[in-house]
Amino acid sequence: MLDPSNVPAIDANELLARYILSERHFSRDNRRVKSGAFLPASNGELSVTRHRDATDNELWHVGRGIATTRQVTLYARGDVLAATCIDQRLNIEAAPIDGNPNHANIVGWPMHDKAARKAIAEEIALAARFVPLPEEQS
Amino acid sequence: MTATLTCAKSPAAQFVYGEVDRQNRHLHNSAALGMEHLVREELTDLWDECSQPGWDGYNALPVTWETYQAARRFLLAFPARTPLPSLGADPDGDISFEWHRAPRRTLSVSITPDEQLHYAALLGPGRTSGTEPFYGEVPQRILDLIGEVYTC
Repeated sequence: MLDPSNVPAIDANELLARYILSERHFSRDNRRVKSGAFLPASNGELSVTRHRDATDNELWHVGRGIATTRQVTLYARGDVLAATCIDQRLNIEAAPIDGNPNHANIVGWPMHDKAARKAIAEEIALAARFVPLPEEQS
Repeated sequence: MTATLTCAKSPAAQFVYGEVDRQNRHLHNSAALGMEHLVREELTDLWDECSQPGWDGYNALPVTWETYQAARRFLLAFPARTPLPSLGADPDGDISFEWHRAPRRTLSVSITPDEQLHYAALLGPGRTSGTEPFYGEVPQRILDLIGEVYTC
């Protein structure tokens, strides 16, 4: 994981992980993330975790921690390049938190326009790679 | 009857079972029964899963009873033979409907508690989005977009 005392700015080539914690946000049939997983919360932020300097095990560890804390099930990750979000005119801000120095927020959403947010989320979901939780991690 | 047939071993009985199963699947997928099924089963499940704050593991707003009722009315307003959507929910508490045929043949529509329909579609290289009110009939714009999703 990143050194919490030295968190670099986000590079366009970084991968970002969105943890999928609801069955409503992915399709089992064709193994893809639905756009709803990439819509921001009402505060205008979409919470993600940077892959940078993190092992796959560390990424799943963070996701399991979130799921445990919030008493939900971790199903998968949606991995997407930062560049995909930047192409949609969004910004990504490093936002380290306790236990996850790799935490970041995708911001800059058109919060006045739900349809425009949905279109952006569709593009990100299309580009995202669906990564199911490995059985040994569940 | 089905339980009996699933135990059938003769070729004739297996053929009959296969036909019954095929017909059942056809009925299930037909719009008239399919939308009813979506409302009765999946929309109810969605309500169970998403009517509490934070249902998405983040900070999602709950799906309200008003939104559930709006979604129910919307689904039941579709004409026969409309392909069935998959149901989802958004972090703002809206209920969403997705028609997905291929990566760039997809439409998502969200309904709000006050029956506004926000939609976004990826159709080939282009994308379109907008908002339509729901007054008890599915807006023609939504029907046209569903048609485009399933057109080669």
